[in-house]
Amino acid sequence: MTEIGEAVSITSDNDNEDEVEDLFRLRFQLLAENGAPVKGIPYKTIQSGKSAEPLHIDDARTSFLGITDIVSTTENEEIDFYIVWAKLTINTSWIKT
Amino acid sequence: MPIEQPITAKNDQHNKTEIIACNCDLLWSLAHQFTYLRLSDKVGENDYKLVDLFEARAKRIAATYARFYLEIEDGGTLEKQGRYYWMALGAFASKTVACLLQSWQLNAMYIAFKTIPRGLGQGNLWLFTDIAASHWFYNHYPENFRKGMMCERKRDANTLEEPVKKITYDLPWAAASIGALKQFKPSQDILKSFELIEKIESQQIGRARRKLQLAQLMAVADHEQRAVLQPLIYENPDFAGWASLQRSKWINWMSPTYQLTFTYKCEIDDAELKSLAPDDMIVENFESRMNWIGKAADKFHRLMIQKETYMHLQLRVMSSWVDTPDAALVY
Repeated sequence: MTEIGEAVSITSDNDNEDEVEDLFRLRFQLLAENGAPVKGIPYKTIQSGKSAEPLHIDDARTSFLGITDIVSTTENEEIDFYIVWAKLTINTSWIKT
Repeated sequence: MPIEQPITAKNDQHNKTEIIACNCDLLWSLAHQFTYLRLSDKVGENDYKLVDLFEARAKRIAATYARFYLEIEDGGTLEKQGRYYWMALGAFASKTVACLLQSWQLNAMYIAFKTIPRGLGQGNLWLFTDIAASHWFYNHYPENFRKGMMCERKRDANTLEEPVKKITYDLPWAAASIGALKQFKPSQDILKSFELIEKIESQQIGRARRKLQLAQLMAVADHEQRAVLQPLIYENPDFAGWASLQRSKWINWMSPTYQLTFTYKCEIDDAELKSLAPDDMIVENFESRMNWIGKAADKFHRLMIQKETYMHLQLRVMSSWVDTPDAALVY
């Protein structure tokens, strides 16, 4: 299990019987500390080491089960996962006290 | 999650799912993001600009409160309409702030003395950030609010995800406001209000539910006035000084009347549809202010029972102000 902000690698098998067992398909799943799925989180994934810019534009949102789309089908490929946040410009030149 | 630190997974197993554990900070960050984006205009894909005009912000805030009450806000549940009872009163109150900012008295004061309009703008913005974020959170993640991860009590401006924390601290008056609000740690009053919201949800429409609704409204009003507005603006010596000055005869004539009108308009003649503050109210004094707010709340409650259709119509109109435009020039 990976804490937000840290990278660790413990995995769980996807038990979807409809999928072909010998295919390499990588997904992420966001779970709350109590194990409940975290839905609707905007995310972006990119091949490890490549630029993630523009980082404020997401690929998609986590599903009702907290799961991303398939983000890699290439064996041994490393994928970086980001949560995406909107950009905001604030004019405080005259209102900040 | 700090954007500089992605989570990396290797596709080295068949049908691998990399688990990422999320805590309350992530969910509170989403809630905060909702509040400042609501007060912003879209300028590009997921790229926004905060609206400068205080009046436009106040109208969008009124719209958002109305939407929460009507259960048409993001994540709302129509069948639960009425649980966020304070939100309906809050919509009228924020509309009143917009009207005050619009009034010629304040515009005149604005040029010479910025204390009052800026105090209103600051109070309205940070109250909204405080209140709307918790309601958005409860709308979207009720399973982790008072139960599950129990995030309700884990709110802290300093532990928001870095991009959201940075924006939050860049908002107008952030330095003074976040400290005054104790980094958004929940007050006893706001904790009580969400306890009441849960009770309202499980009650059938009737006398008992209405009693709970009024209690919920007063719990948030206590929170709003004691934990938010009192330290934020009324204890600001400049604002308190100006409020005191307004009571003097030589300036009182040009000061707006403290009133809450139960209409989407700024003014209404029908005395039944407004609540005027007593002449002897000392606005910067919590007890004095609450004395009026209690009376205004009673009147509001009566209208919500006796003129429900009318009141809901006013709220519907206000709910449409969600995209109120910014001004080309803000002075």
